Amino acid sequence: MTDDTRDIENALRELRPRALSPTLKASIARGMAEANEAKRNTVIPFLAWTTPFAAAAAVAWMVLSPSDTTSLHVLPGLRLVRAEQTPTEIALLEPVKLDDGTFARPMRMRWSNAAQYRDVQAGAELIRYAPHDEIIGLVPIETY
Amino acid sequence: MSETPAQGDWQAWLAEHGPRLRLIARHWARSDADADDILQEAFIRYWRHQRHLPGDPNALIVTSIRRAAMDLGRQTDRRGRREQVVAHDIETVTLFELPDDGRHTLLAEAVAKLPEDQRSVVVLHQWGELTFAQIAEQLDISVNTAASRWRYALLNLKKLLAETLHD
Repeated sequence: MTDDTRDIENALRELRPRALSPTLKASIARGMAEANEAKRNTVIPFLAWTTPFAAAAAVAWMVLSPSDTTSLHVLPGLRLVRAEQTPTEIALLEPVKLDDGTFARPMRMRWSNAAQYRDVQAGAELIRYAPHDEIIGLVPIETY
Repeated sequence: MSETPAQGDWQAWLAEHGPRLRLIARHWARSDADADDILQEAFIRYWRHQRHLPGDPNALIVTSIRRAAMDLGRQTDRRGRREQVVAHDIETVTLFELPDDGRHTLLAEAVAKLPEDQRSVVVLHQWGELTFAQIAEQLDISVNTAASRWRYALLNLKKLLAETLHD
């Protein structure tokens, strides 16, 4: 700003807004308490609804995904002796801003497959470890 | 207020930022009671749902205040068809903790006399702590327009103060 208006800017900075009234503070405190109570009453129904959905999505995802072990079956001499899959971990990540200006939480699914193969004649073993980390959807967030 | 507020002590956060946010709410409200309602609604919504969203937290809560004010304004407009609407008067002097000198009182009165578009920019820039780019987004104007309204507002305040002192 120019020197012409510098003094006005400085004077504006010295204008301090009044503190909130005790009535308003008490009203906001009541509102926060009610919001906390409402949240406690909705978390369990929300989880009850989302957990089966997430589990179904995880199962569908794994069933429809190509198997990690099939590609090695064709190799001569190798025989699958052990296969393990870790429990699927589903997490809602930090919110992100989408192109249209709205916000959403990405839903991430993690699991890993491990397969152990053995070639008896050669006395060799092969262990294949395949971690998976997939974003399987976006959960919209109400911003107002 | 560039950091995302920490979990927990909302009272401390509100004590620090509440007064200037209340001033912004009052700017967009038709009465003190409406301003209190707007701030309460916007703050609770921000703290419960928006505090961890990416972006400048200050811009987020100012947006929340503006939208709450617009919602309340629409409701009041509907009621106003049946009843007399409360006059949209801003008693700017009562919004500030004024020191014991006449100059600051005159300045507060002069802010109230600014044209609406300039006063919006002054409130959002000075007490909303928004950049001109953020103000432009809030008010749906260009950044240059926001900056020029600020400059004209300062010149107008200087002129209004000079006129008052001459009287």
